[in-house]
Amino acid sequence: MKWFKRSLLSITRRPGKSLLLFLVVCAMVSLLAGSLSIINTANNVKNELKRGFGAIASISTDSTLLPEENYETIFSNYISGVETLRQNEWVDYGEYRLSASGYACGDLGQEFSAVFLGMSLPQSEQFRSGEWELSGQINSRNFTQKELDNGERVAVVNISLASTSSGNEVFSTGITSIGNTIPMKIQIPYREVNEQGFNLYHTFTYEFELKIIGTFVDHKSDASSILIPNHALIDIMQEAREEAQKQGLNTESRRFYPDIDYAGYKMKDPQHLSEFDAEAKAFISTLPNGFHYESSNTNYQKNAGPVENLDLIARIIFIAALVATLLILGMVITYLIGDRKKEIGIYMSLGEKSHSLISQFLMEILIISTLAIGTAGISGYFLGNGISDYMMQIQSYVKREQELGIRAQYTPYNSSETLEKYSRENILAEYQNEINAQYFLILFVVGESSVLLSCLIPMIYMIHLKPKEILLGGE
Amino acid sequence: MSILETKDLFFTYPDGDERKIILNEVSVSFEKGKFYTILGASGSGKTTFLSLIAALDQPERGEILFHEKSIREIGYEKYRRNHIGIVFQQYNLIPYMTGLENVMTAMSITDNSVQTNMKAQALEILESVGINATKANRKINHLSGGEQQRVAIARALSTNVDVLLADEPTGNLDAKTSKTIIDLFKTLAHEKNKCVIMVTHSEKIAQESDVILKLNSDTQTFEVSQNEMV
Ligand SMILES: Nc1ncnc2c1ncn2[C@@H]1O[C@H](COP(=O)(O)OP(=O)(O)O)[C@@H](O)[C@H]1O
Ligand SMILES: [Mg+2]
Repeated sequence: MKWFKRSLLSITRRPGKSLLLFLVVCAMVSLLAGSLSIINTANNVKNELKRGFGAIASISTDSTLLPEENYETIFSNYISGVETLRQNEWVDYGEYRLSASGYACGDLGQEFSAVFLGMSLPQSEQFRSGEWELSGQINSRNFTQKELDNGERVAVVNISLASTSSGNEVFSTGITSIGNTIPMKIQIPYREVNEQGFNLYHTFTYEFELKIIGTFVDHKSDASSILIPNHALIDIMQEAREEAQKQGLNTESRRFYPDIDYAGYKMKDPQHLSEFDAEAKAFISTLPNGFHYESSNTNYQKNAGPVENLDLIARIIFIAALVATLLILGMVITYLIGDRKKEIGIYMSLGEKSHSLISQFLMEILIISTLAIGTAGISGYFLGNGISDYMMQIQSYVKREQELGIRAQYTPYNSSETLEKYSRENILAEYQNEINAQYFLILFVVGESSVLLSCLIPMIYMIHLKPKEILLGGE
Repeated sequence: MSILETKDLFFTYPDGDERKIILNEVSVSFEKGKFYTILGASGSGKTTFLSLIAALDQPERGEILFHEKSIREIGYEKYRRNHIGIVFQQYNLIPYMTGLENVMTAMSITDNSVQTNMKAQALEILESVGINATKANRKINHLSGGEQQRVAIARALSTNVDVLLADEPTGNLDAKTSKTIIDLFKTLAHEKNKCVIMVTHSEKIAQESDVILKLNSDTQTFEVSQNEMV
């Protein structure tokens, strides 16, 4: 009858007491398991939402809010700021988009209106996403980083400007167009106030040339866009300002600068997006109104509210259940030990070592608890799933685009767009929690350690029992 | 030569603001092969004395020597485990075990070499105190009081100890059963060479023993008398 055999004997010969402990542990651990399972679900949903929103950030512009005059410092601050953000260690790649409108000139003097889009990446986001695609013409190519950095006068033009079918003769459709240098014009509308105090509207035109290096197809719009390096566009506008100054025009007006569309960034790792957020927001605060920063975090926070609540509630339940488990289990075990005072006194009178005595009772409790935790794991899983299913029904988790609030402008770096592409079903599927080894492992670790912890006081009580009072009393 | 000896054993209990002296410098010694009774009125301190020599409590002053070595040095737990067996008035058996399992529990706890062939040894000891194999395999609550006390005696003997301590072991038994238990103690002392120390409040039972230690309620010490009749 070594202590281990005595443990087993006591479990089987005292089925009522064993069952009592089993049921108490089972009930308490079911609560723990249920809340763990919800926490698990909430984490999965949160991760899936994060994955859905990606790790991207954008600065969009609302030009109606931008100041019209004294624009030079604003513009140069913006350019150096967005360039600096690209150097942030967590950024995988980033770019900004300037634009200007004007004309592309044909051989016969025809003019076709065009939008010049400034590029800072050889593979800008539209190319990566497949929205834009380099056309299959021979020698058609995208920019090199060197061309972009040096602001070379090269262009990748929308195929629609080169297509004969659209009746466009500006660029011949053959390969001969690629490699040609084509005259272009930029048109700058400006305002003058005459002596009578009336506003007079004029257009300033500046001519320049671009060498065509490639053509591309725009799968999303049929805008006649001409892609050129951002730095080329900045230089051209600078030249235009110098020309305009010679004519005595006020070139401090915003109109004499390229339009700022947006800047966008993709992070290496969603983990560090918040650090980037802080840096970007600090930058935005140095700019006037009209610039709007948003990142995946912005959208995540708008959407993750309900699941964050669920997670919080589950955490509160978990902690409450843990405290209750310790208290209730501690009391039940103390009761069970007190019920066996005489037996304990007998072991002591026989000279049993304290550690063997503790081992015997702990083993007994652990065997019963292990069975109970296993059972509770399964019941807690159904409990948890039931609760998260219920929460699902009363709250819709992924808000629709229109609910996301005002956004200044579309950019390919907007995470709500990303989420739309990403299936809502993926996220909803995460609510269907699965029983896995990790869940049981955590449950056993949490369950067994709370059982052991609640044994602490009863065990101290046990070894301080006085065998003399238990066994020799009573005459 | 004595196996167990007390030296100036002093013990008090709190009594209101004062302390009541229960054992006042008690020095006695016990030998193997003899049956001792501790006699005294109820509340005189017999159980207190037994609990001290059984190492279930510690004296305030004085010493208990086992083979001339202080039981404090031996270690109280170890002393109980390897050197004495205790029999209680309330039997104190583990209720969900059989008699055999109760005996084997004691055998597996002691460090004395009784571990080999444990079950056979236990059955033999039970047989020797009048519990046959059928009864030995019964749960404790299916045995009579006398039978339970025999199991308790078998448990005390099973660890191969020389000293058997008993506190009013026949207190809950009828006269006839009591007699057989007392006879068993006598046999153990005289034939098995054990040192048997039994607490009783009955003058009649005390007459059956070799030595009577009468606890004097005035002096709180023992008056020792040899019993020539036996
Ligand atoms: N724990 C205790 N606290 C105070 N007094 C006690 C305690 N235990 C016993 N006593 C007293 O000590 C005296 C001796 O008790 P005990 O040794 O049990 O006597 P006996 O066994 O001879 O009847 C009694 O008067 C009893 O009331
Ligand atoms: Mg007594």
